[in-house]
Amino acid sequence: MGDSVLSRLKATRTAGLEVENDVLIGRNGTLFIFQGGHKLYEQAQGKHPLTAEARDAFAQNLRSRRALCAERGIGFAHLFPPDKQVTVAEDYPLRDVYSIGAAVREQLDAPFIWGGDMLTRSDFHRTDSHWNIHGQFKMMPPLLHELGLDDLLPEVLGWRDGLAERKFTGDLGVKLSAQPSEIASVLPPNPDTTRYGNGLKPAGNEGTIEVVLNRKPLVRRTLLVFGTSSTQV
Amino acid sequence: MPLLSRIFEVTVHCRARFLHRDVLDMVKPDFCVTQNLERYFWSTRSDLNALPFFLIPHLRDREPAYSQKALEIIGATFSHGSLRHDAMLRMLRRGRFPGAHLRRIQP
Repeated sequence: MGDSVLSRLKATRTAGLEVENDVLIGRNGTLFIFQGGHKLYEQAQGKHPLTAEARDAFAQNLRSRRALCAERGIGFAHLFPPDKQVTVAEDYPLRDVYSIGAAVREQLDAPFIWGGDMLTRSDFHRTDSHWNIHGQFKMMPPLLHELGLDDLLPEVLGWRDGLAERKFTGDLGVKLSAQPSEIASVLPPNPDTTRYGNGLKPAGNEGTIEVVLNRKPLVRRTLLVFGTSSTQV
Repeated sequence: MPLLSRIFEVTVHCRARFLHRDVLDMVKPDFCVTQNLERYFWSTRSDLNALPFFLIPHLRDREPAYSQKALEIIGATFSHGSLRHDAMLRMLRRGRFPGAHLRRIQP
């Protein structure tokens, strides 16, 4: 009996859903976080819709961040990527997927980069919860524009020609007993960069620091990012 | 987003839900990007709730484990305008990665 068959037997079938180790196995073998720490499947059903409190806190944060940066002569942009089930909805087992990001975009007339209007199915890994390098390339035009760095765009987009391919099992794939893999495009290693971190143990989210130095950058400037694993450098 | 660290000379990524003003004033970047996720949005709170960034691991029962090199580079990066920071940029601009010389700079 093959691994994938064993995996399917181990998976829990609830109301037509195939779930193993909190990973939802969607159509075409596309993997999604099932509930995670934020009841994602309930969110996708619209059971936790946008609240005025969260929307207004977000709007106020954007205003104060922009003002803080402007006072210091720092260029500012805010990036809001969609969740995978919003972008790869055709592989998700719900007919209508609720998107809190789309609701924020609709209700707020504030400048931020919402990826929900730009990304498509091919911009996410099949076995990972994150966008792939193609999705990241798609975010470059609005991001560089917001930072006033449009002139860098042709060179940055030209890096797509140097992508390599490798076998990859994403953060969701490794949670399944079958360990499904995919072929993913990756940037080749860059010998002109080195990275340093604060080595948090156990590895976690908040408080992690990564610094990357580049001796042959496109611009001799410093970028500071406050974000999640989606913007990890 | 490894594309970002190919574009910029120094890229600092802090895993954080808030913009931490203390970090902004230590790093003094040319550009700042903040990013959130849909699935966390319901818990969005004001940046005024931000704790000093370097306390966060301790408050979450995690321990930083810096290598000696990481300590030097992160120390230089988070002290913009210091002798260490200047030396780090000077080395990069000579096409070299900062090395042991950062240790020789006395505070």
